[in-house]
Amino acid sequence: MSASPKTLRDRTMIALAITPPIALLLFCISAAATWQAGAAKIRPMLERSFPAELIDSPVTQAADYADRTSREHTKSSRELASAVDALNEQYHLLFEVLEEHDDLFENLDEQHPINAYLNDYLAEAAPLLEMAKQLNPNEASIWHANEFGNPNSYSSGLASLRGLPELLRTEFRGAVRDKQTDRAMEAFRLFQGLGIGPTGQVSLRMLPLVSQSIAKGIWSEAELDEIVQLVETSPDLNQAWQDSIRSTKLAQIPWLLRGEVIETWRRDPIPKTFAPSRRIEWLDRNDQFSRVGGIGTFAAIKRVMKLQEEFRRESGSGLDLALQIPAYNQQHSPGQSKDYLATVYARVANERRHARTAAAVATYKLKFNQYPATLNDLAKVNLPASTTLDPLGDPFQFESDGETCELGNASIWFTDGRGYSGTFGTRDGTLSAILKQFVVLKFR
Amino acid sequence: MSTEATLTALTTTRHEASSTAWFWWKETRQLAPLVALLAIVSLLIIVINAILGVAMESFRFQLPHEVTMLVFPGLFATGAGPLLVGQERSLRTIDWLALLPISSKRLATTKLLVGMAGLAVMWAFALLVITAFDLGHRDTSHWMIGGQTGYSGNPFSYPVWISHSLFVLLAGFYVAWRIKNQFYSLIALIPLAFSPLIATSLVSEFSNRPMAMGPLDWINFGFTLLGIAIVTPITYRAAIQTLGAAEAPSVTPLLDVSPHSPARETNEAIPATFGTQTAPIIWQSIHSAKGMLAILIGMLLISFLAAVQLAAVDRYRGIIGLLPWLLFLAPLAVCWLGISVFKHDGASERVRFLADRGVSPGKTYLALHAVPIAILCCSLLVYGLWNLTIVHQESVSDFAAGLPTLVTILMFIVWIYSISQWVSQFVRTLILSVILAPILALITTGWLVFAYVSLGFPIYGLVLCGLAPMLATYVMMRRYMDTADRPLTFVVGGGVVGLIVLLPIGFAATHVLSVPSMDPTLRSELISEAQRDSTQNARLVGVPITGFAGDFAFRHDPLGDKMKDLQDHLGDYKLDPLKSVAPLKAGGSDQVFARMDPWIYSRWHGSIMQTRIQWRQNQDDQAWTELAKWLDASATLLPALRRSSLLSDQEIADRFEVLLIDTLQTDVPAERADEPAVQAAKQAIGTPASRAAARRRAVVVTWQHNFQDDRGRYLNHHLTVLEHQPPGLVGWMEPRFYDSLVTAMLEGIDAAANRSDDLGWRWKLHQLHQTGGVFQTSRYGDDLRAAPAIETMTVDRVNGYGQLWGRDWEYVELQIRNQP
Repeated sequence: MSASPKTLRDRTMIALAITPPIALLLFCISAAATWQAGAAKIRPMLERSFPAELIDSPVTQAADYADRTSREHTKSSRELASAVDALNEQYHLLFEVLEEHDDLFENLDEQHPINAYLNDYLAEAAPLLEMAKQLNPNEASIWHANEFGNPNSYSSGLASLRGLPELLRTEFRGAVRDKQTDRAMEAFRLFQGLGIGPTGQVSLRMLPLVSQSIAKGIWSEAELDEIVQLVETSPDLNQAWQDSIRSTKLAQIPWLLRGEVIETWRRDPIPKTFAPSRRIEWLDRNDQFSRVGGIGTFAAIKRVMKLQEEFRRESGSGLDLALQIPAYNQQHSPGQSKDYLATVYARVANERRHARTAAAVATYKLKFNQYPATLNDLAKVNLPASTTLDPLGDPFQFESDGETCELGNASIWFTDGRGYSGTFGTRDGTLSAILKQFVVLKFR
Repeated sequence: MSTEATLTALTTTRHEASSTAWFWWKETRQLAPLVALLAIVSLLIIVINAILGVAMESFRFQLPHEVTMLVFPGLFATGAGPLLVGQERSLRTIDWLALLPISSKRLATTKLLVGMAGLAVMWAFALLVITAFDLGHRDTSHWMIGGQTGYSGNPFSYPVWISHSLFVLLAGFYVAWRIKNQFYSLIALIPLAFSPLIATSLVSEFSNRPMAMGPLDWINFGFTLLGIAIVTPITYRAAIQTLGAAEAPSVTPLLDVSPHSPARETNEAIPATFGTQTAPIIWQSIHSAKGMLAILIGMLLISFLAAVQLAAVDRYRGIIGLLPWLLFLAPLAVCWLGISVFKHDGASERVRFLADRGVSPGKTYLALHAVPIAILCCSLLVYGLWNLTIVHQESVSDFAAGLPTLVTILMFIVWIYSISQWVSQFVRTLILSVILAPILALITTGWLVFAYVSLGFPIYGLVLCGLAPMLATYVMMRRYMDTADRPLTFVVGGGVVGLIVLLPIGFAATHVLSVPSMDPTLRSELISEAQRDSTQNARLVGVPITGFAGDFAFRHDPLGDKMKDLQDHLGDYKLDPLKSVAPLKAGGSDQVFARMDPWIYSRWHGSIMQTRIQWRQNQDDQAWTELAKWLDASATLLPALRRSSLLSDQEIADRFEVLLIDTLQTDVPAERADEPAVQAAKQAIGTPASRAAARRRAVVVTWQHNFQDDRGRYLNHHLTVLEHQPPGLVGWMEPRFYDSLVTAMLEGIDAAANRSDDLGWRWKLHQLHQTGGVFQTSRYGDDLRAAPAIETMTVDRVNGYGQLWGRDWEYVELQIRNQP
């Protein structure tokens, strides 16, 4: 083995030995470079949606929040909220019963067994209601001590006003039972004033109760007009959708910028890293969701579901994923499921159309002293035909003999309660998935 | 070792060569290292398990129960044949044995009997350990076939395991008699050993109905017995054949040197064509272990193909159910690639040869590692590239979604390879290192993963531990080449083991110690203070808060008639303040203290707000009576809460005072200022000094009770900082964090008493309660503290102690003024 010049075999042997490590090294270096390049891209992407200071610091978020809200009614609204909560806690058995009784408006002339309790509650709640009228609170405008950037911070004022919608709903029920439309209207007005966004929570929705009351024929024409107006001033669904996407994104800034998982109820014991390409992918997807228009329609649900399905079937194969720890796919899906949200929004939109159609039917009866024969007749009371359509674009079920009539919240009768997110196959299933419940308003 | 054993046995035995005792003695000595090694390792696992069980109270990381023990006889069975037969064949001592006046029949049966005796010893040992340490727990007997265990869907029937290990032992002897190369025989043993399992899954694949675990266990048992019946005679035949006269070499022309003759290769290839020293060693590494490398590459490939297949399917029954097992071939192959560095056919001769030629140890070291490392890099590259092409989503394949990333796999490979190559330099016998290396690699990997996940061991530490064995073999290389590595190799080996074991522990200890513990004198002072205070507070009167939903929650029936519930129980939920504090009043004012849950407080708070709102709207006597009732009751409750030595009650008392001050200032008109209820409420409100005393007492007593109440429940208290610690260290760090919490709170209490604007204690409390949060925007920060407490305090929960301390409400001059 004397030192003679390298031969071809020497080179082959050495190449054989060092090529694989070098190739692996190159692979890892390019993965690291991809990681760096990706990480550098995220901030500019965020800056398209948020001002730079907002991205940098929760302190700015707090200041921004303080600018958007007012400290003026904070103290009173906190007093009101805690008083209402305590009262509702005392009457929680009543609310459990009310939840089960959707026939409360069935016959307004008969005594209902709940009446006594309902009246007790409302009597106790009267001063609180009075205070609510004076305050006229709006959940988005009242400042709450929100610890931005800290565990246990909450950004929705609704969290502290949670009892008030329930109080207003109950007041509305009581007022309708007593046929006191001005009281009911006041409750509805206050409720709309709270500015509660589209939600799936029954206790935060007033419109189904309003529609039911309309069928009772207690409202005057002017009041019906006001109801329609209040419905029309409800928060815009497209805007609410954008807001929800924006706030999810804002809440995820630490994750997006640094891969830090936040807001889990219990921290993951295994330290994990998230490659920038996954975070960029999430941002891209968020953007794609935000571009979905026509929120509140079935088309929007379909579009969202199609996007979701696409995302479920593909994953970015970024080179930087190779450097993630420990696995290629690490679950992290912040925010609510988008198809659930889109479905809730469609339900709310349908509720609004249903309420407006019901108001038109009632107005028609007041004007012409009989119920319309078909929904087309409602053009006479200036109801656009598009308002009488259910989520699938067919007119609401409507049967009338002039003396009485029935208005459904969908074109066909569908099985109740079978609907859960995802059964969009059949017509029946679709309606059930969106509306959950078939509601018939019986005008007598 | 077997040569030594044979020769020493021969020289020390005075009996004739045919003596049975001598032969048994020789064979037993050959087996002893394996038995000892396995026994030591298994006991080590038990000890580690016990230590972890004791040390990690809060985070249980238990090693598997009895299964660990059941595996060791199987490992012995795998090694016995190759060690007793293969070793002797490869060292040619078997030829010498065959020359002795011992019949081949006797030779073969003795070896087999020694192996069986060894297996019996191993089983006795395993069962002894299982019984002694009370491992495993199951509902049915260990000795039943097909019985279910509580912790796994798979039955662990001892008869099946025992018969299977017997089968493996026999199969080991069979392959050792048939195949001369020890490594090949071991490779051949793997599929043979698993053949009953493979046959069983074939049955389940092709049977028309899905089968439960129980029947499959029986089928497996049947196949194993069948295997024993088949293998026993053919082993015997193979032994007789091998020990018999070798066939005469066939006559070949002198010039036609066999193509595989080393002589020919050496002659033709080496001298003329290499110019460097490294290249020929690499070439030699490849050529001298061609078969072994091919098999190991094959194993990696099979494992990879199995992974590809698994990523494409989504059901794992039948034959597919065996695919995950094939994945284990990859770590095994990595392990054996590590072994191939220093142990393969002729490895020791080669190293000696290079040493004689004056090749430097460094160069030899690099050259020996070059080929295995190149193979591993290729495999990693293939894995990395393949992962670029597949979809990692649960909706497509669970397997693909859970795949570890390239860098994770790289870390595992470094550990396994590094440990294995060290074992192969450390241990002299191939078979021993082949068995020992996987076990040690598994233990090391498990330990380091544990260290990373639950001890917070940093990544660079993992890399350091991974490279330490590589460094050890490098340091020992010169001595190894000169076969002068003992006893230094034990020292270096001990160093490596020490590093891998102690480095994570050291890091963990430093991490724990980085949280300062309390000064011992202060601690003893505080403890005596706490003892004094808690004896003073021996008498406890609980306040039964009527009208709280919790009282009836147990009675609540979700399917019951809600209307009836409403009729019967609505009244029970009405809060009557005077009734609630009646027991307190009865107990004599200074003799009692009260406890209050934040939830109950929020009810109380809301009810006072309700009466205040009522009073504001309608200032008549009835409304005033109602408000006065609440003021009166609060005036009784507040001092009683202050007397409580529970920290959470002090927090509630703070909120109470904020509420009362706000009520008196906002809603009590001057003309009512002299009413008894108002006076009582005014009296109840403390001073900074009295609050400081009450808080201090509560802090030390609560701390003394480890932040638990008398029933051992944690007190509405949740120290966020603990969630940010490695889970395995939480138990160790908790008392230290409590110490820091107490120190910071005592500072805060003093600051509040002196109306100091000190930031330190608030910052510390924020770090403990809202770890990772932003101080400035928190309730400990200046901005929110500047706002009135009544507007910012949390009512229904205490999410951080001391948030209300030292704020403006504490120093307010109480003035009852006319309402606007």
